[in-house]
Amino acid sequence: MFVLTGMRAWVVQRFSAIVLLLVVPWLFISSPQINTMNYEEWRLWVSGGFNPPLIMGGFTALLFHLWVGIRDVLLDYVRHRLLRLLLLGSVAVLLFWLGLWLALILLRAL
Amino acid sequence: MKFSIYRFDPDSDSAPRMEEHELLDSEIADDMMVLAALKKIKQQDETLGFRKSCGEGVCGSDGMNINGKNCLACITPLKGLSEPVVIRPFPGQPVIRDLIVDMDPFFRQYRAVKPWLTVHDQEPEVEYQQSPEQREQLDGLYECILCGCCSTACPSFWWNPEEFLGPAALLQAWRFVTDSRDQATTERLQALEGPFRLFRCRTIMNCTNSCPKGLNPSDAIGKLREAMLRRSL
Ligand code: SF4
Repeated sequence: MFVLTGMRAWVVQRFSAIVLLLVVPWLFISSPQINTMNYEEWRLWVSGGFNPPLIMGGFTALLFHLWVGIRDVLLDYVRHRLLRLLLLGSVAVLLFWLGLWLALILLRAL
Repeated sequence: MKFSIYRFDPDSDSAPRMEEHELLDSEIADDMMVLAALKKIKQQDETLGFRKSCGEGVCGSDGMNINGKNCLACITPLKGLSEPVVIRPFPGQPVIRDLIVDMDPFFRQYRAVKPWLTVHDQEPEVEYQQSPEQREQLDGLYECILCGCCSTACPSFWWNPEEFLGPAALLQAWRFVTDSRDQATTERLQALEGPFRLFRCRTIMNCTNSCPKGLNPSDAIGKLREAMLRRSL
């Protein structure tokens, strides 16, 4: 994930955008009352049907999309190489940690 | 007609300034180009520096920013320009003096794409042959006069002039990738890999908007991406 090249990053950005375009509207439609759900209702919704792979796939796509987007901004504007490397590393660690956290939440709900 | 012209001599000035000039209506012909006006202004102030050569949009040496748009002064008509006509050097480039910028970074990137035919086979004894269709592939590419209007209008080139090749060089990269006579397609595409050389392009399309020859570097970059994608599948 950290050493995405030009071509691969470009493909990942497009592919993740397509996944997000499909998954995000679907998640919104399928959970209209997510704000008012209690934990048990939320757990049932998360673990029901195709939701686990869709939620995990959607968030994985989001994390990859974020990575390419932030990476591009840092490559464009941060000229100092060491600072750039440091920021890229921090973002990669943060996104990896977010992914891990999400996986744990989902696994506990299943 | 009023003009506001960028003046800066790094040897003697501490900061650039805009200088006002005026030409009488009687001095301005109906079909006059900006370059002719600059020449008249230079008669008033001979210290004004700008590049020029052929005067007919072929040599590409008088590229500059006129009223916010990169163009060639010799083929930009005065008629229709709003006043004062603001003339600046190409944006984002190191100024040598007044409207003259250092084009070294631009030509360095041009040379980096190896803009010549590479043939691994034994060279033919007669001329290389192309079908009319193969020759057609080069239309819209070979006409580039390397004026620099496109690359110097590109924000990605402003930020990363050392690493990002820029639209002009990438147009030339595609010109040789698509040339049926060239045999270095794989090497050429491989050389464009990495996050900087091609992939700093954000499809802003300033390049296509500013090309005085009506070429489309943005489209060429898209075709290079497509070729790289097909190669990697
Ligand atoms: S593509 Fe157009 S703007 Fe760019 S260098 Fe060539 S002629 Fe000039």
